[in-house]
Amino acid sequence: MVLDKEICMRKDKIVQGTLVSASITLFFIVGITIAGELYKVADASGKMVNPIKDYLKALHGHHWVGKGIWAVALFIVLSVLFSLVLRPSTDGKRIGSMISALTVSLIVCTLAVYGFFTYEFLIAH
Amino acid sequence: MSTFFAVLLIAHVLFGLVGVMASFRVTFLLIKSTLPIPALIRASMYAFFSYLISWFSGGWYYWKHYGGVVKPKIVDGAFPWAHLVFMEAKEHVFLFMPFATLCIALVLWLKADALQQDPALRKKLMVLSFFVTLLAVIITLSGVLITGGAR
Amino acid sequence: MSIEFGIVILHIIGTILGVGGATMIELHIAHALKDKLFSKDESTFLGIDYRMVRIGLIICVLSGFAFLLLDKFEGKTQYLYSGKLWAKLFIVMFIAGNTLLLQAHAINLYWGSAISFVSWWLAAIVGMFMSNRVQFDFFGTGGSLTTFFSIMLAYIVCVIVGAVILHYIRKRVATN
Repeated sequence: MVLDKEICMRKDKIVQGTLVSASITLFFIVGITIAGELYKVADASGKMVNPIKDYLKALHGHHWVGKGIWAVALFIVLSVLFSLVLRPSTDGKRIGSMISALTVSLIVCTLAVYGFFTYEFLIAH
Repeated sequence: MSTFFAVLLIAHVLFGLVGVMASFRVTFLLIKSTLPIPALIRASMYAFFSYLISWFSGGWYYWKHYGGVVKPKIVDGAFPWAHLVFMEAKEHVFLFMPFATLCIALVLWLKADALQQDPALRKKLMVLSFFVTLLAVIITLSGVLITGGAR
Repeated sequence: MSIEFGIVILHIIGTILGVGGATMIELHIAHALKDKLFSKDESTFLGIDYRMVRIGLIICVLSGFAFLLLDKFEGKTQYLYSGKLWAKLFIVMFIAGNTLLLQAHAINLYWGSAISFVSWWLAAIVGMFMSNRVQFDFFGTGGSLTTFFSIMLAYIVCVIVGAVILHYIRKRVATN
């Protein structure tokens, strides 16, 4: 009985941890994507370069591969952290709110990415 | 295109479509008044692993073939927006899928009892699954636009 | 037998299962609504019809995208911007979306069954237009966008007309 309750609490903490970290990871992906495109500096020859994208490329071979690796790493670290730190909930309300937060994050982040690249294309052409 | 990259592209599309159908099935089953939990867990796992395979196969194709061979054709052609808008967006938005679908699978696997007893919780998960499915469809259609832009 | 021919066969199988299943659903619903009750047998038959439509849709989607991949490998990517193709893609999405609405009881049978029935038949007809290069453009330009909107316009009209006809058929069956 005590073991059942302990297992139930652990499951709840894992679910909460992954839900919160997923939302944060989505915003991280958007953040690093937009920052990578907008943050430009002139190199020695005066040509504009993207330091963030170049750094990811130098480290991982391609900026997109780097973003994927960093997103996975962040998700794993945050999931473990939040699973340990968050208290288990007694009803479904907290998990329900976290699910809703992930839904909103998904919508906002998708609109942000499509919107950003559409805007970039329209101002450049 | 070499056979290896053709196989990667086929795998990317095939597993992407399987993922879309699995996500749709999760959404559909979550609408039922009595949840068929084993079927839901299976469908959510199929969705997650399909997107993973699609991610890796598409990613390798993108990294080693698309950038050097296909992208210049699109950007220099009549439909540059196919890459500059849709590919740029798709490659980043696709990264959302594994995390979102893993969360759905974990909720179904670890909180099945709560889902059966709590209609409000079930509805919220259904809404999340619906938007994951919708995003998967948008990504698929973006893929059609990108490929069509390479003449 | 070429790969293309193999994909055509698969796509036709999917279409037959889907269109046939959608048609049988309407016939079985009309029969079941005679006494306004769904008996166990009637529910069983409808369950089989729904499964047939589901299998048909899966085969159609997979073989449909196989066509697109073949176009890519053969260098005929211009077809991926065809107005008829995009109309079919949207109709398939309407079928899927309608399924969710029906399951959630968020749409009534009057419109839900009309959308399902008309979508399948129109998708099959548009497919025939594609393979026979039939032009379908109310605006006369022959462009992809105008073709797409022409088919969507025809789709809306067909759904409305289809809903009226199906309702009339159900009423006739109920009174016989």
